[in-house]
Amino acid sequence: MSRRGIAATSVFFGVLFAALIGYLAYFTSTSEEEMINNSYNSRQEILLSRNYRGTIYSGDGEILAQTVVDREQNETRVYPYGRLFSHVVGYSTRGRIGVEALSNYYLINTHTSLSNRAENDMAGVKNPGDSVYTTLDVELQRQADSLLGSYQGAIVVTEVSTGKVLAMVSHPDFDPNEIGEIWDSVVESETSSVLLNRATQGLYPPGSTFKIVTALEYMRQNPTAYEEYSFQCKGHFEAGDSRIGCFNGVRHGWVDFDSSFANSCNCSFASMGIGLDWEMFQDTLDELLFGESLPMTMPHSKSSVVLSEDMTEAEKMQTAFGQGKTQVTPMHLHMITSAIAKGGILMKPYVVDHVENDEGQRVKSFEPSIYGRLMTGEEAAVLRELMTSVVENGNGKKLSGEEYTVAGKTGSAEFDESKKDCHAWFTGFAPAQDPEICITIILEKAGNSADYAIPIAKGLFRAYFDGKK
Amino acid sequence: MGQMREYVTELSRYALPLLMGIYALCGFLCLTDRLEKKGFIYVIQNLLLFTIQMLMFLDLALVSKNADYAFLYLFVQVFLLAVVLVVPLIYERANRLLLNNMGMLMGIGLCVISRISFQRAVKQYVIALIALIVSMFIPWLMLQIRFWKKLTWVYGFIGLLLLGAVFVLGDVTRGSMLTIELWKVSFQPSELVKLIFVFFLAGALWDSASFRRVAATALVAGAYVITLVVAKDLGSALIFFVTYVFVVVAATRNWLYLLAGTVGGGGAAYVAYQLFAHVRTRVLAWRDPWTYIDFQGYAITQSLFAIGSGNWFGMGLLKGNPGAIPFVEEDFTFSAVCEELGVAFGIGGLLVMLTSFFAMMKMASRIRDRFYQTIVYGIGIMYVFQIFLTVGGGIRLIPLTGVTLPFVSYGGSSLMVTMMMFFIVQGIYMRLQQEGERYNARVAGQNAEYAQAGGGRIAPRGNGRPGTVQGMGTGGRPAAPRAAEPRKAAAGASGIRGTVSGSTGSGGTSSGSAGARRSAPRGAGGEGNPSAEGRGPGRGFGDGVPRGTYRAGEAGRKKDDSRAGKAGSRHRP
Repeated sequence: MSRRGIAATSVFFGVLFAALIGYLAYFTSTSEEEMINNSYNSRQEILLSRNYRGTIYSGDGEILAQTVVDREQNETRVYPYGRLFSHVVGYSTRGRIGVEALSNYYLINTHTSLSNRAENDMAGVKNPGDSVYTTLDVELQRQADSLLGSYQGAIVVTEVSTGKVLAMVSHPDFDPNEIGEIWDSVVESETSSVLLNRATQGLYPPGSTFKIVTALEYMRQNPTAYEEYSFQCKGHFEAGDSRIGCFNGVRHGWVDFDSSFANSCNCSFASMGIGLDWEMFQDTLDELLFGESLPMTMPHSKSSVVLSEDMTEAEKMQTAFGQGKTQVTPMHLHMITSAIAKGGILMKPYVVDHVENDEGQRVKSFEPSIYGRLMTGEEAAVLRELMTSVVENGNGKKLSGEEYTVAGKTGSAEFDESKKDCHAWFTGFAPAQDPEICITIILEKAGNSADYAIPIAKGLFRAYFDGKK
Repeated sequence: MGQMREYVTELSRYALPLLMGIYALCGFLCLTDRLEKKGFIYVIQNLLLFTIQMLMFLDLALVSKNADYAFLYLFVQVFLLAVVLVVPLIYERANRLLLNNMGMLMGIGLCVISRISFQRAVKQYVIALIALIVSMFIPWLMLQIRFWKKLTWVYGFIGLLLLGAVFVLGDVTRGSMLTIELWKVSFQPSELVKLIFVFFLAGALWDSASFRRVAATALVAGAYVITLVVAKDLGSALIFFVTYVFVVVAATRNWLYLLAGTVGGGGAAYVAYQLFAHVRTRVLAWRDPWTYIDFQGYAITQSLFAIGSGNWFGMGLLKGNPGAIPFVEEDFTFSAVCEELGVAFGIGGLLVMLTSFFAMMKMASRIRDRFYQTIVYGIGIMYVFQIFLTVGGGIRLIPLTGVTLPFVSYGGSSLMVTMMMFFIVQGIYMRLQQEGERYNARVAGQNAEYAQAGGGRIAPRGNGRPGTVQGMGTGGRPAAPRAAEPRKAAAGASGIRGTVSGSTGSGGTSSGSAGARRSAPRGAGGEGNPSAEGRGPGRGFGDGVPRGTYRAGEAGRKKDDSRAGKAGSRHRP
């Protein structure tokens, strides 16, 4: 046995151990939060037996959730705003959803000082958990909630420059203070969906809002020709042996690219769709995160578009103007819109801003972060123009005439062929030239028109810009 | 009192990894020739050892408010004193680094086990005591008995017999046939066979590493490995296989055996994967534990939770929940250490283990007697590879195999055999020093004679380098050709009969013998050992896996956040 052989053996195992330690260090530095937040990890209960659950604040410092301790050391989780933040802040006593779930790790850990800990230990009380400050705006949330009113549906409002979620409402809602009492009935009920956060998990046909995507693809496949596009709408359109029509049978007459979009002409988009290369379309849809996980930490559903080479003409037409088998979440559509507002760049939406200990020292800050580009700046600029003309000359006229210009797209999505009932969509941003906030609204079964979403958008834009004054 | 508790536990969170790091650093310094013989560095290690012990037991006692820990502390300290101080008094040539490391790791092991089950810690303590007493005789036996290398095929046979015994007398532990019970004492034969296997390999390969000889050992090794795989003890099978390949490569100096071993092992692993469901289960749990978190992936995910929750500085002793990991004292001790004492501390422990291995390799490279060299080398490989298996499995770097962490895990057979292995290494180390000294004395005498005769001078090489076995053959490169004569005389006188290096003049002095050794056909391999395969989550789950209480909670509690939403069924308006 040679010395060299033995030395080589030592080096071999030295390297093996270096790999072992390297991997262990990597795992340790990257996965603490993920490990503790997993509901299979019993250490959550251990931390909670040592620390009071921390407080959740809105962006302006209002308490959204706190743990109240009485003399007998009984803890109650209290949500001062009741139903208002039911989905986005969530609850923590029957499993966890919302911010209660997202920031669970911070809420159950403590960064209070050592002397405080020693004192608490002496007094036989727990340590205060760290506080979580969200990006939520109580006033906007309240407006969104009251504007949505008795409709089922959802509203998302984010800040364009950062991706901060300012408001997120989902109806029907529930009072998290009563989650214990309502739990059984909610879980047992087959039809109830009150626990579902429609903003991120609800899947809806996109209706005419999908024309944003089709328009983008048409531009990509006809880089200069799209400007010359024209089409004569007769209120209906045939291809093969199938026939589709414009909403409410309206005839739009001669339309170009811009007015097809502004007036949401189904026939025109169906005709564009027939001519598209659907394989290339698939690439664009992948880039736009259809069928993918969204870059956000909140639980969400994946949107889906069914495309295939052997689609019938009817299916192609339907898909092109947002019907067919396409399903999107409001959050996903919102992210596409906000990327258009930010020149093609998608900011990751986030709802937890920073974490503080009980003495107000920052423990952790979450900075805005860029996911990447969904489209080029030029494409975003064209889409912004299209969306501006929707408000200036098209279906969204009721949003015009304010101090700020709005860019947006409406949609009425048929979800049941037999009934003439529609979901009403609005997605858009303002000011159109220098966007600050982005809003997406879905009203379920709003009736026969997209118009129902527009007053809500108007109210929210006003609330935001008035609040700024 | 209460206030002190917070401060002490908080202090020890950071002090323990720091002290452990310094201790490991001392260990690496001890590996250098310059500091190896300096006594003070070992004393520093001893001080660190007892400080670490004090802090850990102080934590345990303060947090638990249980006076039993005070008693356990005293008993453990007495034991550790015996290991690090009494043994060197009896055997003054003992390698103190190995002794210190042994003490350090057993001390940590007893603390962590006592925190999971006090009763088991007491049991482990008793076994440690017995193991120490038994092992104390080993160096003496190694020095007395001269026929160790004649028993090659006896070792081979006894080993197989013991391994086979589990099928006749064995109990099924967690789905694997591991233990047999004799006189109310149960033990794992595979642990003892590790030791026997190393002796077998050394006996078979020390005087000849011809292809025929290698093929003969391959048959025996193959039989061992297959027996272990059938008994579902995949971890042990893998350890035997890897040790075998390394020893053969080292003995033949033919790297093609490594290639053959890798290819053969890979092939065998593939076959085992196709053949055995328990192998597939482990690979599945390794690749995607989160999907199978309820069943196949349960143990490994719990281990990851423990490490992730403990993070760099740990949750503090008695403040985590290592009991949530199935079989934590045996298979996931490292995860338990990381959870409560921190990953930084755990890495310190890994470095300590690595210094033990390096120390053994350093010894092996100094030994000229190939029998004893192979034993030290083989024991080193077994030791270090087992650590890699259990730690790598627990952090999901490789599939789980469910082997113990030597000296730290709970388990009598493992502790007993590991300690015996360390003391065998000690015995060989002492022996080679003794012979080195005898040789040096002789060389000094010869020099005097030569000086009188007006001749040259034989350099007594290696003074101050303990254990360069001048006595056993090469005697360093002799200064003058005439030195050959006295060298042989010295070898003869040393009492080691016909050491290979002495007889063939290895050590690079005789190219002829090296050539002869290499004449073995290459690329033969012959080791069709099915092993490298599955090392999966703790053997056989599903039965009594302790997750009952936690899972009994209401449905919503268990549900992941996203799934809670599903209560309302996916919304497709």
